Amino acid sequence: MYFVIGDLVANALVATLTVAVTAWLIGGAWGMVPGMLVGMVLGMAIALPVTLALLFPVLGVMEVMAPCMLSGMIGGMWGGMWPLAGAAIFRWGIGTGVAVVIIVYAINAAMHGPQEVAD
Amino acid sequence: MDTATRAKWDRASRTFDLMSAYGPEWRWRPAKLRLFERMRPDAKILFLALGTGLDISCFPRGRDITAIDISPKMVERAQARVAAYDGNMTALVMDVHAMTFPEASFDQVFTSCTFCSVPNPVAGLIALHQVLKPGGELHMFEHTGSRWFPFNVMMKLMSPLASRFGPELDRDTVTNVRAAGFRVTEVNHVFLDTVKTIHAVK
Repeated sequence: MYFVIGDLVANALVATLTVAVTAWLIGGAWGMVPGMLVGMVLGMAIALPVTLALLFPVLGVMEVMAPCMLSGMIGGMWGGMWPLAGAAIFRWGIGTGVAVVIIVYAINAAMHGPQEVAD
Repeated sequence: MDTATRAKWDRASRTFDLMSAYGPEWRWRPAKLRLFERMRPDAKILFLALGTGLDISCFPRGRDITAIDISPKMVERAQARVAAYDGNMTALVMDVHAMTFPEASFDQVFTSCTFCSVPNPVAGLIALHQVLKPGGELHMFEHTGSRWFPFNVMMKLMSPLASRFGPELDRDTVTNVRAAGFRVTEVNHVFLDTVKTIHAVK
């Protein structure tokens, strides 16, 4: 339960932060496609140090890095594409973080366990 | 001795327990317990990389284990955990690329988050192949790159930065194990396809 709550909070936090920063810097002003692409890269760049410095020691390595980078990338995409402000930043950020956790948990459940070995 | 790698892990030893002893170890402990319960009571076991000895609490009692690490500072910090192990354990500073053990010295080799950091992973695995007895077993807990988008792209992007302070994130360790001459018998995904246990024989 610690990790489920931790993953939800971490991803909501990272996504909200990246939506806020990219919306402030870009906010749809560069056109939808350039804004989206720059926002995705910027979102990952913001997510990486936050994840490594703050979240890694308490939540794990890949288990926190992979989803949080994805949350950062998608959060950055929203902020790059649209002029989000106020409560909309929290709605998109928290929604993105929660959705990413659900998707990554589902993918992990499908991949988990013994794999076919060709040797 | 690879002095650059040694210096990197000597530096990392100062914050290693702070970064790794809680979140990462709590997540991985169940998988590590399953891996290390394969340590046989009758086997001469080589373990790498020792680090500060965080994995020792997952080892079964009464085993005969030689543990190595390239970093003298890591081995120094591991001493209390090594001394507390209820079995026969020796900790040595040694580079996997330049091991001084005779050929066919060990029955089993265990690794824990090692081949994300060894500079030449195939050469390191060939060295392990040489120190294993014929039919000897290799058991690994490793994080690797991913085959799946978008995780593969993210791992590749993060790896150059991560490798400055610690491990690379995009290694294909299963392929490297095969390239070193082992026969892979089992691969278990622990998280996505980026954290896994790999079992192989010489």
